Amino acid sequence: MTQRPVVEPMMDMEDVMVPSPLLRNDPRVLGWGSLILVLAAWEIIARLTGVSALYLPRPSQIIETLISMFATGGLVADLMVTLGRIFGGFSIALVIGTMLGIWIATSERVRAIADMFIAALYPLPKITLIPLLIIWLGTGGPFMLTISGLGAIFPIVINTVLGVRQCDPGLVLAARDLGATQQQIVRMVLLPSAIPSIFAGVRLGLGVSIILVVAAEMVVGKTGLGARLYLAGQVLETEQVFAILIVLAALGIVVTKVQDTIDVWLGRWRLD
Amino acid sequence: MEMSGGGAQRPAMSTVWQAFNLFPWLTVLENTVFGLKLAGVPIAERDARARRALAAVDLSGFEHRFPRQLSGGMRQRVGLARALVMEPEVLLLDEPFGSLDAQTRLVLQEQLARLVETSHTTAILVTHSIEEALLLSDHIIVMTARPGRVAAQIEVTLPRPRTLATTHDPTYGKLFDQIYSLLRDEVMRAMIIDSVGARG
Repeated sequence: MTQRPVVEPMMDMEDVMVPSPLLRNDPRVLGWGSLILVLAAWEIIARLTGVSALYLPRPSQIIETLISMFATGGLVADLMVTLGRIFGGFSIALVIGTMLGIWIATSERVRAIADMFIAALYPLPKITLIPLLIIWLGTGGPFMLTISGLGAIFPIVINTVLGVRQCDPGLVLAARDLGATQQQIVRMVLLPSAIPSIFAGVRLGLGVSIILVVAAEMVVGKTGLGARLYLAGQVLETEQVFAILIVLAALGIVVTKVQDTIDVWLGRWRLD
Repeated sequence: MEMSGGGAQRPAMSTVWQAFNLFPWLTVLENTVFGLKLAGVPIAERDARARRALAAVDLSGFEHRFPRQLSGGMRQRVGLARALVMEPEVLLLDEPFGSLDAQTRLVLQEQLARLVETSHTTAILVTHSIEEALLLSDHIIVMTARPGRVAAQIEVTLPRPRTLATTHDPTYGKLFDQIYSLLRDEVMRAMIIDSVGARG
C-alpha cells in the first residue's frame, strides 16, 4: 500500500469518498435520487409543520389525487384533447412552415416580401393574438389549432430558410449534373440538407405550441389540461393543481426525450 | 478512346468534382444510385449497377457507410463511381484529385487510367498538373489564362499502361518541357496583367 504512486486518478478519490455503489456518479442516480430526496423532505416537513393542504399538499396526497383523476376524473380525456390541439396545430405549422421556408429561401422576390412580415410578426408575443383570434374564430377547435400553429410556424419557417440557404452549392451542381430537375433538387437536395436546421425549428416551435395551447385553454377552454388547471385553482383544489402540473411536466420530459432521440437519428450522418 | 453511339438512357456528360460534392446524408450506395434513380432505372438494376461501379473503384463493403466515415481518397472514389455508373458519353473530371494528398493522388490516377481504359467513355480531365495530364491523356489541350483560349494541342504517344516509370521515358521529358514552357509564358503574362490591373 505504501508503494502506491503519488498521483492518483480522480476516479479513485471519488470511489473512496462515496461509500455506497448506488451513489456513484451515474447521472440517472443523481437526478432521480435528488428528486426523491426533495419529495421526501417535502413530505416530512409538511407533516411536521401541519401546513394546510389548501396551501401545500403533501406529495403523497398529490399522487393519490393524480391516480384518482386518471382513474375516474377524466384526466386522460383532457390530456388527449390538449395533445390533439398541440400536435394538430403543430403538424399544420410543420407542413406549411417547411414549404413556406423553402419558397422563401429559393426566391429572392418572395424573400423580400416575407422578410417584412416575419420581422413584424415574429417578435410579437403570440399570446397577445388570443383576443383577436377569439373574435374571429370563437373559442372552439379552429381557434385552438390556429393558436398552436401560430406558435410553431415562425421558428420552423425561419430555420427552414436558414437550413436551405446553408446548403452547399456544390451539392446542387452535382444533383443537376446527375439529371435532377429544379423540383427534384428541392426535394432531394435542399430539403434533406436543411433537415437538421428544420428540426431545430421544430424543437422551438413545439415548445411554444405547448405554452400557447395550455394558456389559451386557461383563458377560454372548457376542456383540456389548461382548463382543468384553471378550474382547480378557482375552487382551491390545490392537490389537483399540483397533479395537473405534474402531468404537464411529464409531457415536457417525454417531448424533450423523443426530440433528443430523433436528433441523434437525424445526425447520424454527421458523426465521424 | 472512341466515342460511342450510346443508348437512349446515357447522359451526355457526368462530372467528378474537385470538392467531391457527395450528399452527406446518403450512404455510399445511395450516393451512387442517385442519378440512376432520377433517370427512373428500376431498383434491382440500379442497385446491381451501383454495386458493380463501387467494386470497380475498390469500395465493395463500404456501401452503407456515410461519406463522413471515409477518407478523402475513398470519397473521391465514390464520386468517380457515381459518375461512371451513369455510363456517360463524356466523363468530365474537374481537378478530381486537387484536394487529395500526393500519395493518394498517385494511386487514384492509376485507378482512373484503368477504369477509363476499360469503360467505353471519353474522359475530359481538367488539371493543373502536367504530370497528371501526361500520365492519363491521349490528347492534351493547353489553355491560356485569360481569356481562356487554346494555346496548343499535343498528342501523347506514350505507351500504356503508364506508371511512374513512364516519367523516365525521354518522350515524357520532352513533352513535359514543351507544356511547361507554354504554361510558364502564360503564367508570366497573367502575372503582368494582374500587376497592371492592380496598379490601375
